[in-house]
Amino acid sequence: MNDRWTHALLLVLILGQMILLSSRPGASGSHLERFFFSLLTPISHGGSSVAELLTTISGAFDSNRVLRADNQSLREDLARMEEEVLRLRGLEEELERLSQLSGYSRPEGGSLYAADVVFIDRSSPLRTLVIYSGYARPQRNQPVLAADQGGGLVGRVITATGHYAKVQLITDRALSVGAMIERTRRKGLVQGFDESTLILDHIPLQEDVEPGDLVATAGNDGVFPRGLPIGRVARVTPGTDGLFHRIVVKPANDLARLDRVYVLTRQILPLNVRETLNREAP
Amino acid sequence: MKLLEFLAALVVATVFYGGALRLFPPVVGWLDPFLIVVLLASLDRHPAWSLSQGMVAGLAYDALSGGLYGLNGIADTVVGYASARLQQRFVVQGAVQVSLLFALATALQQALLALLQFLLVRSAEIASAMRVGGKMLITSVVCTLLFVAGHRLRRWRSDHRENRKRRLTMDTR
Repeated sequence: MNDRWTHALLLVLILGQMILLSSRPGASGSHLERFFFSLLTPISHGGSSVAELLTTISGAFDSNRVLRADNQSLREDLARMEEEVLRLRGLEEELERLSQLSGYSRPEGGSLYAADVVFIDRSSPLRTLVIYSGYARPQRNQPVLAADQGGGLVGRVITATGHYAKVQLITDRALSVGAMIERTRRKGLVQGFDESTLILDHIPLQEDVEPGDLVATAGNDGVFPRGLPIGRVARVTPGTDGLFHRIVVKPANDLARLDRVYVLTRQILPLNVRETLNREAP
Repeated sequence: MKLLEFLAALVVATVFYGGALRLFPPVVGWLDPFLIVVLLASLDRHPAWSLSQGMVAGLAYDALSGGLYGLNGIADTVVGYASARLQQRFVVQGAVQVSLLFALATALQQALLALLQFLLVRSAEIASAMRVGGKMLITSVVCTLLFVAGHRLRRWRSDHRENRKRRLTMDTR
């Protein structure tokens, strides 16, 4: 192939990819992305499974001590969760009673299904998590929560094909989550900063914020329902603009140690409302 | 690199990616297995073929990782083309020259990614100079080792074939 044709091919391919970059993907990502994703995730899942097997084999030599420690930790977790379930059942019943008395109709709670973590890449700037669920087919924009470590927010599904899905982590700078400080109910926006830090923005300087305050989802961004724990305030400093705090938030979960997650199937905004808003967006 | 070899290399890179993220996650931040496939493919010195392989490998990595879909596709397309073109223009044969070429190709890829993220992604996280330098060093070392290993394997196969031919000729006399 001579030089002219090679240069033409280079130009065409680069232009084609620029168009791909600037196009708005469909409900589950562009067709090309879904094609590559569906082809390659089972292969990378194989690699991840082999690595897990090697870890298990090497751990088998120390299995007795490890199993006993795991057993003890699981017993403690179980006891704590049983307490939590009893407490939440009581709150649920009370909420149901109050809703009936006041005539307030609660939105549907949705349901959770479990998914295994295939791999998690949190060290490169392209923070991603790929999950596999044998129970259901994940859909785009479904919130993802940790299955352990307190069940905090992990991210949302951005690409889904078959039983595999790619999840955008909350530590990704491109993701903004409507959040609030539980204690004061003051609403702001949480954005990723680096692999283990979030920034809570748009909280005015006159608002009372203290390290240790729980930050949860506000339910006002059309994706995440209200009340999902995001993390705790680690540090509060005045922002450089002189208007807002600069609040550093530590995520509720250690994203490096996720093995299982839950995917929430609740539809926050009805599909026709979301489509209307997307059409009207500038 | 022939088509089947390229596809096999892509599969190996994908398996490595999944396995590495499970065993030792930080390695992926310093070593891009798909870039290694692109650089080894460019050793054929065929710019059109190299840029196509670069595009496929880049889009494959984009599908498995986060960020905008197409970022690595564009960067690896240009890197594949540039690497093959440079090898056509200059004599790149020894391990030292090959490792230098691959280090420069990695720097080009990182520069393109940084530029594209700066232009297209709001508050993008750009890799630090230390990470770029580390990536250049690790990629060039790994690619050079694979290049030398491939070269020795090809020489061993041709020597083995020659010996077999000589033995057959002697037997028939």
